[in-house]
This record gives sequence, C-alpha cells and structure tokens, in this order.
Amino acid sequence: MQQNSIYIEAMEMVCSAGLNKEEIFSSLLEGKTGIKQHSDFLSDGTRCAIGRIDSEQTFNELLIQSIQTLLDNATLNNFHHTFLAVGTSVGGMAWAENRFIEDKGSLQKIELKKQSIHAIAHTLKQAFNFKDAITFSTACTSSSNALVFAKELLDAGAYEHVLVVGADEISLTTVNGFNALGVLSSEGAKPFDSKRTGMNVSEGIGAILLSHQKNHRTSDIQLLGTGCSSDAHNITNPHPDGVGAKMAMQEALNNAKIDASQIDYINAHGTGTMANDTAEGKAVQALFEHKPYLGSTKSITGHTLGACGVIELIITAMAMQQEVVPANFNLTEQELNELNLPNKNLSHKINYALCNAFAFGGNNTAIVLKRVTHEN
Amino acid sequence: MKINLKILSSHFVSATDKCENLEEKTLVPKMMLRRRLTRASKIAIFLASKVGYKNERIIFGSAYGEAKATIDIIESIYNKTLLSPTAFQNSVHNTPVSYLSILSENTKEVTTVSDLFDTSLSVLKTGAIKALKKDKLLLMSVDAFSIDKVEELNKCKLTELESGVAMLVEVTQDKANIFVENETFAETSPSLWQMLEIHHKAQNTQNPIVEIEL
Amino acid sequence: MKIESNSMITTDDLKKALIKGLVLEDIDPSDIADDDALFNEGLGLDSVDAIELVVILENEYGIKFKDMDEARTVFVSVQVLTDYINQNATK
Repeated sequence: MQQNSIYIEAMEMVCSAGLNKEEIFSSLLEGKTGIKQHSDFLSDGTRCAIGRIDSEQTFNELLIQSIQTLLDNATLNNFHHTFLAVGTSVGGMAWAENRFIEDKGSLQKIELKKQSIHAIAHTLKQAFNFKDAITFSTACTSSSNALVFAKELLDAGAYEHVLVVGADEISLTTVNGFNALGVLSSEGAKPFDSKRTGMNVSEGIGAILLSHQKNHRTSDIQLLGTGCSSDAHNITNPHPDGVGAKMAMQEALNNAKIDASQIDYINAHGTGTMANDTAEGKAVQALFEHKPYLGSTKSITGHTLGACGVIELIITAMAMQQEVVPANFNLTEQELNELNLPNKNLSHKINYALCNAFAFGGNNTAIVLKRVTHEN
Repeated sequence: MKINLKILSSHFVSATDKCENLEEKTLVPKMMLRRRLTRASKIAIFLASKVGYKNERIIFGSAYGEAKATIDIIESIYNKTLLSPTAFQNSVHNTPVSYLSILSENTKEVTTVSDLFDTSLSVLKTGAIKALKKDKLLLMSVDAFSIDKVEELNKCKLTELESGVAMLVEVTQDKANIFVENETFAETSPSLWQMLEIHHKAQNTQNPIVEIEL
Repeated sequence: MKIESNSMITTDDLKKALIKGLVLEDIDPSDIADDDALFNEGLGLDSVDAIELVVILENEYGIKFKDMDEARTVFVSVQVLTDYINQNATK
C-alpha cells in the first residue's frame, strides 16, 4: 500500500459569513458574523438565530459555482478521473419541504433524485462527470467521515485525486428539530461560554481537493491523520466526560504518528450547546496537558451541520497558511478554566492542528493537519 | 483497483409490510431503550445478531433513511403542531447503527452511506477500502418504508416495504469466486440489490469471496 | 385523549396517555402507582421524555409552560400532573 503524503490541493467554501473562502476568513478575523434572527422558520413564529447564505442564487447554483471555482484553481482540467466523496445530513430535504408545502401535504411530486441524501452527489456528477461518488450521512460528522474515506482511498492508491464536498442547506426540519430538542439559540452562539444558550443552525458548502501533489507555493497543508470512534452512550447527548471524543482525538494522533504535545491549535466542534462544549472541553483538558490554543469558529459561521467538517478544515488550513489563530468571537466568560481560548486573533505559527466534529448517536471524528514549508 | 472480500456470514430479511420475529425483546431487553427504536433500527439489530456481529466496525447504508420520522416531522411543521424531539433524534440516516453501537457498547468507527439505488454498492466499496486495515467489518443495507402514505411515494411499485441485508467480511488475497453482475430483484428496493446478489451467491458458494471494484 | 372543557381526567386517563405518548411497551396503567416518581427513579423517564411530555400536554390539553424548569416542577408524579392538567387545561 502506498503511503505517499496527502495534501490539500485546492479549497473553496460558502456560508452565511461569506461567498468564498477569502470573505469567510476575513469575516472570522474581523468578528463579522452572518448569523441573524429570523421569525419565519419556527412553526410557532418565535425567533431563532440562524445562518443563511446571503445570495440570490439557489443552493444548487452556489454548489456548482464553488466547485467550478475550485477546479479553475486546481491543476486538473476536469474531474473525469476524480473520486467525489460527499458529506451531507439533509441532502435535498429543503427542496422536498417546499414541494410538500406547495402541494398542501401531498408526497406525490417528491422525486427521490432531488429529495434524497444522494441529491448533492447527483447534481455534481451531472455537472462535472466524476469517475465515481459515495455520499456519507452521519449527521454533523458527515463531511468529516467523507474526509476520512478520502484519505483511505488515496492511501490505498485507488485514486490520485479525491474531491471532498460538504453541503447542507438550511431546512425547516433541522431548525424546528434542534428547537424541539431545546438546543437552538435565539441569539448568536457563544461556544465554551458559561452563559451559552445553544447553537445556530446554518447552511454551508465546502470543498477540498486532495492529492499527493504539493502545490509549489511556500507551504502546503498535509492531511496527516484521522480518528473515528463511537460514544456508545446516548442517541442525542454526548458522553458527559467526552470519552468518545477523547478516543477519536487520540486515534487521530496515533494515525498521524505524533504526540498530543505537538498540537498547536485545535479547531473545536464547539457548537455552543451545553452538552457538546462541556464534554469536548473536558476531553481536550484530559488529553492536552500543554494547553494548545482552542477555538470554535461556529460563532461566526454557525453550525453548518453535515458541511462543518470540510468548512472548518478549510478554515484551519487557512489559519495555518496565514499563521494566525482566530479569536473565539462572542466568548466573555469561559466555563472550563483550564482551556486556552484566545479572545483575540493571535499571530502564531501553527505546525500541527486538530479539527474535531461530533454527531448525534455519539459519532466522533478528529483530523490532524500538518503545515509543510518548502525551502526555496 | 480490485479488492477481494471474504464473506464470513450473511443474512437477508424482508416483508411486504413489516418484518415479524425480529426478536426485539430478547435482543433489546431494556424496554426504555427498545421503545424508541425505529423499524430500520430493529431490523439492523436483528441482522447483526444473525451474522454473528461482535462489535466490529460498521458500514451501514440506507437510501431512504428514516422515512416515517422524516414525514412525521414535516407534517408536524406543516400542521403547526409541536414537534416530537424523539422523531427528530430518530430521523438521521445513521440512527439504526447508532442504536446498535449503544446497545452493544461498541466504541469503534461506525459510518453510514446513502446513494439512492447504488446504496448497497457504496456500502461494499466503502467496506472494501476500510477492510484494508485487516479487521472484520459488518456491512449492512436496510430500507424500511412501511408508512401511511407509501402509495404516494412507491413509484417502482415495490412489494417488499421492509428489507435488509447484512454480511460480516474481511479482506483476503485469495481469488474471488463471486462477481457483482447487477442482478435485479423486482420486489426488493434497488438500494439493496448489489449486496442481495452477493448474499444469494454466497449461500451457494463454498468459501465465498467477492471481488469489489473501485 | 382529548377532553372537553369542564371535564376532568383521572390518573388512569393520564397513565394511558403516558403509555401511548411515550411508547412505554409492556406497561399497564396498574403498573404505575399514582405517587411513583416519573423521572430518574420510579418510572425512569429521561430528559427527552420531559420534552415529549411538554409536547403532549400542549397538543392534547393546550397547556403551555414558560420553560423546561417550570414544566419539571409539575412532572413529579402521576397524581401531581393529573391535578395540574385538571386545573389548567384549555382544550
């Protein structure tokens, strides 16, 4: 089995904080959130804070456009020999909801190709003619699991290029669903804050092209290791001490063949819910005695559900390239004292970073990135 | 790239309405957990026990996911009634294997794929690559849609509204004696066809080994 | 389990509503004592059941709570909850 290094060759993303990766990263550093209050999502008319992409274009149009932009920036001419790994938790649910409501509660016109989880892959296969595609759907770890599989495909030598796409459109189901569980906030999320009131459901699209090629710029970001685990605890809530999260992070470190003490920055799952942030915080405290920088960027992007794995990996990669640790926007009083949660942007060389994602049913993933600088 | 998987065991279950004899009370003795299980979850737990699952890593596939929970939610939203939190937590595609991992206290990797009519093929391809780590894997594909408004959705006129197939596999260098030839099974959802074909062929083959092409 | 206004429900009516709404399999109303704790010990309901109970009370009896904390003060036992419903139902 080949074990040549895997690099991020190209990336692009869209979410409520911006229409491309540069805009989103600027929003992050400027503390400009795209989370807004809406009263037309919850069926009882109450307000909730969610993140919608600020564009007249449809979600599918934005999806195709982002992939096209990425292709234009890559060395490939087309994706005909590329594998597509998609991660999505809602697929075409938003389209189906609109249809259902327009048709006054009838399911007659619900087309599976447009409604199903496979809808994202279907749209992209039609537009770009990928060699093959598989869609992962594990709620909030969907695109992280797609990234894990992408690495496995490349390590096995099955493909030379894999495009990983995370995409979740805002839907009535997810907004009302998280509200039903009592975890939706009516204000901007405050991850790791002792007075946090919940998460902001948001939409987003992220795409990363992985290959064995270096890009010949000053540095490259390498996908060094991955780890997956299950809490085996509860269908909605994580293990309160973050036991499963700790296992996934340790496995990622083992897979990357590095020690916990080498991690400079952790991009947390950090949703802003009581359950997640306490569990994750405890897991980080237990595993990382040297107190690396920890941050959640969901206070700016919102929780993009199945897309968050890819979007937050892109943010982490950009932070590494630009040598800056983004601030924890909206954090005033941290709940767990031992965590190193900067509330200002910091100039810092991040050599090794860890990205976390955790989902319903206790599905946990962690990914290690390494910055490789080139001597010119 | 071709990867050969040894089929250690396999099982298939289906019904025109609801699968009976899923042994829920024996397999899930705690009522407070059992009461929340979806149909697909009960089928998945049953299939896992039939193939001799012992906390291996799991790759699961479902084309339609939790159809009942999904429809209950959108109807609740449309009718402006309060939404059941149980329905929402049960509506994600990896619900069945999350319950299985909780029940069996399995802390290993569990992943779910969904590619409409190619779902079981996606399970096989994902499993083949993951099997390169040389451990045994549980591969499963389940689709259960015995719901009130099924006639509005069942355009293929499938007669088996609940079906599931599972197999315990491991990678092997031995020669393959089973190949996926895209057989069709008119009553069963196309989302299971590739795994169903392998299951049927494995029943009639000594030391069954399937070739998966990526 | 819809009730007309001015008609009271019994503890038995509530037990049947709980068994149905929370999908409590193999449990008979006679298995639940009026004073049994609903959460943790006794019946052993959990935090998702608490939310489901709020949903049932609003959808069936028109009872609305300010927040979960207020709801938990009446989710003590079948007797306490029955009395509360009889005093506050709007459906």
